[in-house]
Amino acid sequence: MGTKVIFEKLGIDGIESLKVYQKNEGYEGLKKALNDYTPDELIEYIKGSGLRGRGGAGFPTGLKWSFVPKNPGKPKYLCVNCDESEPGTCKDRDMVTYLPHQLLEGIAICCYAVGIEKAFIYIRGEMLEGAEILEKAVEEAVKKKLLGNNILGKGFNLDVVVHRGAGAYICGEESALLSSLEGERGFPRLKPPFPAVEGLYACPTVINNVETLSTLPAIMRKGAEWYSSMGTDRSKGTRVLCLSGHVNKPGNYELELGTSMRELIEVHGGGVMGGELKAIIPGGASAPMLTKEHLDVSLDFEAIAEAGSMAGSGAVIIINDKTCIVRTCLNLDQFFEEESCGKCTPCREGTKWLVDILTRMVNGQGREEDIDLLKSVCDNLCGKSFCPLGDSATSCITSAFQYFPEEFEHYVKHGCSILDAKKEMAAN
Amino acid sequence: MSEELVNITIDGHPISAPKGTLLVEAARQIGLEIPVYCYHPKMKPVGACRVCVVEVEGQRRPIMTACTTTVMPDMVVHTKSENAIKAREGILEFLLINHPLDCPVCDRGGECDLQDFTLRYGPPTTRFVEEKRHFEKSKQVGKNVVLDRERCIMCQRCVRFCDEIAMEEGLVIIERGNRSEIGTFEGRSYDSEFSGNVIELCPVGALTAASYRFESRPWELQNYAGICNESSLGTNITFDVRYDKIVRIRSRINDLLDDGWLTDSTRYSHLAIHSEDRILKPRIRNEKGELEDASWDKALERVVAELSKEETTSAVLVGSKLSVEDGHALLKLARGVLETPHAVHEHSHEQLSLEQTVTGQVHGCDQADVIVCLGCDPAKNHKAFELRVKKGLRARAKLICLGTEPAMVGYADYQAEGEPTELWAKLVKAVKKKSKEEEGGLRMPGPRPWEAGGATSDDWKALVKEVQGAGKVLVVVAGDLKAQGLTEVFADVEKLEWSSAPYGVIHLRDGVNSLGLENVGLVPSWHEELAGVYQEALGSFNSTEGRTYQDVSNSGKGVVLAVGCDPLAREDAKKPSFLVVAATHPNASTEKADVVLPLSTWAESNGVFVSTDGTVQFSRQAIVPQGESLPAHQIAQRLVNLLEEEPAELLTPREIYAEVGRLNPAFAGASYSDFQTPGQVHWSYPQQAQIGMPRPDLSAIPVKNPDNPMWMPTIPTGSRVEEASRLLRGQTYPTVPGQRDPREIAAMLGLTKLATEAGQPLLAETVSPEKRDGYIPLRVVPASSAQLTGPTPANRHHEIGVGRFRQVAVPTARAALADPEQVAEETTEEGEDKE
Repeated sequence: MGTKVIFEKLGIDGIESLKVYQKNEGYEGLKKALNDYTPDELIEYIKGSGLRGRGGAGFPTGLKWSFVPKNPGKPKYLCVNCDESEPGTCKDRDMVTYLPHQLLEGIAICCYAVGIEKAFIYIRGEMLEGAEILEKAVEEAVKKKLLGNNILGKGFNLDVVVHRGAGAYICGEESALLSSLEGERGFPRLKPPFPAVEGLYACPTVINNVETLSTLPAIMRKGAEWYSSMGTDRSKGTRVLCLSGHVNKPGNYELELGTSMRELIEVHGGGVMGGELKAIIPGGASAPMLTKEHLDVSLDFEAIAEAGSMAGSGAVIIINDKTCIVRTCLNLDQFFEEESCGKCTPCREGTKWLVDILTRMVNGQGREEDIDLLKSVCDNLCGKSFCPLGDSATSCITSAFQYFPEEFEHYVKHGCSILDAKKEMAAN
Repeated sequence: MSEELVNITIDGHPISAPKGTLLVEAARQIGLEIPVYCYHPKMKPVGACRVCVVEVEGQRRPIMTACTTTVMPDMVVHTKSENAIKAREGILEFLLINHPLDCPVCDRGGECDLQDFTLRYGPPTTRFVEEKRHFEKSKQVGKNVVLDRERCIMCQRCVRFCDEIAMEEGLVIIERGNRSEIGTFEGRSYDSEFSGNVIELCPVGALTAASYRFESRPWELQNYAGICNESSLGTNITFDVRYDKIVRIRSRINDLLDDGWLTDSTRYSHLAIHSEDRILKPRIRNEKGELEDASWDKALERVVAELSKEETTSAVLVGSKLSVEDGHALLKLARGVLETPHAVHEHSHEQLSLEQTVTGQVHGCDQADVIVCLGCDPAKNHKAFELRVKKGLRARAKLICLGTEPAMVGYADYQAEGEPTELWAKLVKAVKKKSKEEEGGLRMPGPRPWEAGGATSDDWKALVKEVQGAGKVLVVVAGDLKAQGLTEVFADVEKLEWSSAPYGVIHLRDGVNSLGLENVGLVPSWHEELAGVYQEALGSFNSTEGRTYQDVSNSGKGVVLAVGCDPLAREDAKKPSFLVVAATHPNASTEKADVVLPLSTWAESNGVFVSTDGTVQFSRQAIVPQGESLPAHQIAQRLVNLLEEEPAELLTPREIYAEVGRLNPAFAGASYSDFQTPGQVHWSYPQQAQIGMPRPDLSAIPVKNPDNPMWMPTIPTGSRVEEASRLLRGQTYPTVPGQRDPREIAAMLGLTKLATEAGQPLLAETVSPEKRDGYIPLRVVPASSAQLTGPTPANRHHEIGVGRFRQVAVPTARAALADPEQVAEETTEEGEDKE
């Protein structure tokens, strides 16, 4: 299984409590950060580790921190993005539920480096249990002077607030998260100004994913060099991959970046369930599909991008050959239609239109011109919407057209799925 | 915004624009249209509708929204590249798929941005075969506002107006995604005083006015530039007239006065003009003590009989909603002919002394550091000013309210309760001895009172510190300053060196034209030196000190002529021995009057009004006087003619105003040619505001625009008819609508030659702005017709831009009474040959 970074402590009985966490090197990383480094040195240190944001874009974490102005004359904030809502993704949930103190330690390290005294954990509304665990953990940590005022006697103050969202996918987009946190409607905002300069309450703000922050304690304890020795040239370290769909052993797997898709599915996931492999969605519902030809693509940011998709949130969804791709697209787009915030025209109207067309197709009322229409609507939507949600809604359809055009054609010609037709033929 | 210029290229045109300029504004500089829905120059960009997409070379995402992208050095922008055209067409298609396309029954049809942009940039047909989104067709979201959610394109302008401009709870977005709709919080109604603005802001027909629904099509409307008659702010409005009825009032952006927003009392003020209780006939009280209808001749005869009685003391009371011309004519009647000194206007107690100079201007709010509301509350009594204060607050100003009652509740940064006079004295004293000790350390700017977590502070020390640190201070006072004991404010402000325009003191008057009528001379005391001038001009003139408005209305004696005011509305008022009331609507005085005369409203006559900060503005006559009503200046002149032995010809408002300019130094040299009348202004295309004359320097008014010797007043162009003709010809939108050479319009209409009224070929110098009230009657000669000689039936002329829908029916009896100029005008407007 190799070395684990984030899930190293997973499985230790009672690790969610401060007592057990502390017995297992808990908060050692924070101590080291506070004792051995100035904030500037710490940022350089994290830069050196090669850690990249795990929210989806893969932006270098240390670099992100260094964009925050040193003395802006305003407060600075950290927002922890725990609004994990990308379909197929379930890693933050485990990190919050089982290793809450590891996250808090990561938060404290980040805040010390950037000079932040107030951090908000924006947790998805549906994760009630996680929010309660986090609240309890914060309480424990404050009691032990690991958070709150004068942390570890070093004169560093940090107040952590757990804030539950109201259940909108769009609030995982960082600027919409800020709007929501401020009590506004969860609409994405214009960039620039970027959050590092003008974020929460128009103050400099760092927004990091739960996984990114949870990695920090181990990096502090074991060293940046150790961390960067793992992974590929440009994608360092490990990553938690959420394997789901038609596999025998779905679950969260922490693997070194550079591991191939084949290893994940066949070795860790126990192989495809119920049929042959047809398609892989490698980075959550927003990522374009790949096929079995791409089994040897390694699961790092660059390799997946090269293959024509994106590493995204790390949710790998396996689709077997008994699945109709048109219906899969409908299913995925129904999600995007439901979750479109409605701010911009293309996403608000386009996602609905895509769903309308696909629904008609699936109901056997597709017309031949619908194929071009679908492509054209995707084209009018992709790259024209305010935030990437609009683009995401088109990626499944565009990639499906690339790899499985015959399924759409069959639907509009015969009014039924190519798979149903095959089944019927087999039965006769 | 820094003045550093950035060079960019749009569609091959090089443009220099200040750093920070949005692409959409930069394109507008060269007259290039980039369509917008969500973008509005007075609000923050949101980038929601995406219709302004353009292609920018060398970008990661080449399709960018012009309303959110600022100019960057050497940017190369294409609005007509294949990608840009395709993207724009795609967005319009998205906007239209769920739009009901009920243009034939939509109020906005004909002036709708969705129609216009679809015609210019949209796809030719729809590819949408699915069921459209349905909502209940009309939903009353407020008492004046009706919403059609099916037509809504979710540009959020209305929501942003409530949030950003009015800064109050109003319209919100309900639900999300495709189910999004505009609405109010559950159980609430959108009844703001500013609610009408969202109707004007709506680029489609989603928000409509309850009073205008299904009333008219925009191409049937004549537009006349007017001035609001509800507040002293001098808000610029446009009357939209259909068949001699004002059907709606819109804003006519003047950034210096109204910033393009109207209050609902202004917006719906036309409803009173056409209300059923208008007084439309003269009435005389008969022997039985009842008022009965009478002819003008009878009524005036009765009035003259009373006025000519010996031993009669007469007084003339003037409503402050009347124009300068009305005021002057009534002054001449009172002091000149009746030789009574008792000629005062309703709000003459607001008069300031000569030493008190008002330097504060409405637009001073925009950049002021501190706004001090001293003993007044704009949110209560001067709603139009409230929005301006809020604009200042958003920009930089801190609001300080000093007074017995808390003012601008929820918006004031500092509040001190107590007697305004005492608080003011205390503040002046504290500010004078500037504290030398500066508090060290950075003070975190906390949230403002209207933001979450903010609150109004009553910390006097902090308040003083705020004022001390301010360079630009605007002190707001209102109403009768003598009664409030605030007359010293002007001197104090001068001593503190705050009085450089547009900062210093701004005096919000309660009377609409209080400042204008006061300068006309409708005040109790009269300057001795002026008396000579008037005496010489008018033959006789009584310049002694007269009684105040209160005095006259309380005295209960003599013959009182009350024009446009209601003296008996005061509780302690007594009916004089003989009361003549000229009024538009019944009031307490008409109940008891001996003679009631039907008075025209301001929209039924030309007139000049002076705003509270001294802007002199011209309000154009929009409709003929209703019923048998007459404007006050005519009533006054008719009475003069009956009282004098030799009847004179009635003067038009133009002539009266020129006389005011000749006689009265406050209006020295003034004439109607001072007023460049802005034409049809589309609210989404702001243009340079028209400035009237500031009060202190009356000589500075350019009679002609020195920068442009070719300048000529606007010709009303029947608004959308012209737009439609341009659309059909595929011409682009002009850079600045409004001021336009009539020859250009003629060319646009496909007519090659223009002639003046007398049939002379049109040359630049023939078009003298002196000709008419900013509107030159011109004759268009169709290209095919014969040479330009005198008018013959063969080249029947029409007035440019005066639409064909104007119905004029002046009853003969009334025609005799009406202003001769007006009658002439009406005839020409009908498109008939005069000769």
